[in-house]
Amino acid sequence: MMELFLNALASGLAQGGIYALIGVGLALIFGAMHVVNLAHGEVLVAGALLAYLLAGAGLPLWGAILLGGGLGGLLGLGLYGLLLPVRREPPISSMVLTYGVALVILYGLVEAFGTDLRNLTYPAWVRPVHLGPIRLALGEIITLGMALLAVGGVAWFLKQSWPGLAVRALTQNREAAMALGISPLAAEALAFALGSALAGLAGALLVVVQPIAPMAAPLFTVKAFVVVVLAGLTSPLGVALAGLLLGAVEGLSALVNPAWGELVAFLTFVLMLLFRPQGLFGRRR
Amino acid sequence: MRRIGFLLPLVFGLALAQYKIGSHLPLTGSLSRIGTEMANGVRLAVEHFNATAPFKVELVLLDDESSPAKAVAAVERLVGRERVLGVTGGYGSNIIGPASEVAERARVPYITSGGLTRDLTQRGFRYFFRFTNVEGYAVVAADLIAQGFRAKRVALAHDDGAGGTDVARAVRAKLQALGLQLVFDSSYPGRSTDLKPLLEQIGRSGAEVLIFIGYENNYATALRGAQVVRPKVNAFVGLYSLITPSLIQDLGPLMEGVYGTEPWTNGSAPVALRAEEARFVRDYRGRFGQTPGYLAALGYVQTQILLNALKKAVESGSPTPEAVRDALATSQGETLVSAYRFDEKGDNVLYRTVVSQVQKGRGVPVWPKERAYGRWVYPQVPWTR
Repeated sequence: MMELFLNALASGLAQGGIYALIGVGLALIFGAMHVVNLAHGEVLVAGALLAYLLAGAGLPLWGAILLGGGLGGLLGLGLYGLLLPVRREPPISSMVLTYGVALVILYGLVEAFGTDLRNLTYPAWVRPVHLGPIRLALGEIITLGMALLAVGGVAWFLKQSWPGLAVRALTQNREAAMALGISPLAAEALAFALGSALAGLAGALLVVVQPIAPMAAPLFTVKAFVVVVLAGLTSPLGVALAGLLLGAVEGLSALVNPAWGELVAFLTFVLMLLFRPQGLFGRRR
Repeated sequence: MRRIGFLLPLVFGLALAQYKIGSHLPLTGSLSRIGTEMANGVRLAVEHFNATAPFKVELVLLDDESSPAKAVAAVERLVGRERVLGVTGGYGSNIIGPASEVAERARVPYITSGGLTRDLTQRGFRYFFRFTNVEGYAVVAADLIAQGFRAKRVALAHDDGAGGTDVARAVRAKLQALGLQLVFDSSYPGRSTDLKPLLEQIGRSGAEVLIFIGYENNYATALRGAQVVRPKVNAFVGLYSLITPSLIQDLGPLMEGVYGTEPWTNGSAPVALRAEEARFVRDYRGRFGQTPGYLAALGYVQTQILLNALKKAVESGSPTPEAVRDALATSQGETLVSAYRFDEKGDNVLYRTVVSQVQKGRGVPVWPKERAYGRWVYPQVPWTR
């Protein structure tokens, strides 16, 4: 029984790595612009499909994965450009606009690729790795490692580099940041590109470890949103922790009943909104 | 001489007569690949019929974009303005349900093989006929396990959608009837991205065979997870959508040895119909430049059955939808996909799929024996046990 528990936990954490990536991406964008990007899942799927195409065409897998992330960044920049005219409008305008873009990307992808699932199978990535009683596919370990590495990189970037500090300053106090001479446009564009690149990277990693279809995009947006609400507006590491937690909760619930994974995840989300709206790691404002 | 003179106009009239049948399928939109393949099968059946029949049939084919509202509008047009004598087609139970209601109200026969939901034939409709059903999947798989593998203990995992639940119910009933022991029985969410915990439990259940019911994404998730968990079973049997070109391409060696039911695959027709099957495949390739899949074959045979009923109605001197319906209700026979005979609900009680096994990267029909093309390998799973 303990073996089952540990394996379910490990699988959940591996999935949580993906949630961490998309959660951190969404939190970055929201922090800098106070915009809930409803096209986040679509950016993920676009990254996944590009990686699928490039790897299928013979490009080395690592290159395909990185270019998937790169496409996410480009899409983020494009989306930011579209948001510029409505920046001063109430937040609902930006949300509606990102929703519209989400639909355009989603149905564009459906038109171009169809609704079929896509999956890259590399026998080495599917091979089991034994860590004591835990069995995981090598691909899951790589995905989790890369996700944590990317989140750590973003955290370092935000803390140690000038552009990163500018994004953080903008997130914490917009007026004060501008008074210090920080260009909000550049910092916002950077946050949007970086946040979306994380989503693209998540998609590119995902397509190597599990099947993915364009129609799954809205679910990933929702999952990213759940992660951000769970964490509260906090540091990337806090959001990443919430992502891992969500994955673990899903994995362990599935052990009790395979149909309970998402049910428990969304129930946790509702309870969090009701009883701790500032999230697990956020502070009440 | 006078008698011949009397017959001439009748023969001449028959040769010139044009009767219409209608079809609606998703030719554009997300299901266009499926709809187009099925439509090509329908088209080819009409062309083959017209090549030999003493009268010509015109096909009115409409795009329903896999939208229930558009399917309803399409059938309204077919039974109204086009005055067709029968409708062949429809894909998806949610589309076929409302579309066939229109045909029922207009008293025009509607034949389909695009929806498996049990409810479709539980509505008391008189003009509705379905070539395929879930029993056709369950019976052959259970027979293979009991009589072919001679296994005793079976695990069943199915997606929690209406289709998966329906098929699982049919499988359970059949396993019970054959005296097989169901040692594990669970549903899983269709959107699940990790089935390893489920596979762990199956591995510990003592099952000899795993019957897995799902869609392509579920099979891909399960077969990838099985490489890690390596459940101790002797065979992996997928009930539908498992042995597809896209899955074989994407999963490659992860598919080797799995079993899957298929309505039809090239070479699975009964021996007596192999020549007809070869003609179907040859003409389909020539006409559409592609190799036909089971969707094309289903579109072809359901239209064949409708056209044969139409021919009977014409020959009886009463080419009306009612006469076509009566001919359908009493018709029976063998097609390159399966035998057919409709019960009072319009369900094909003789429908059977074939079970194929992936051998060296392609699906080989192995069961039932009379439709087998190769010999099954058992025990065999794509992972090291």
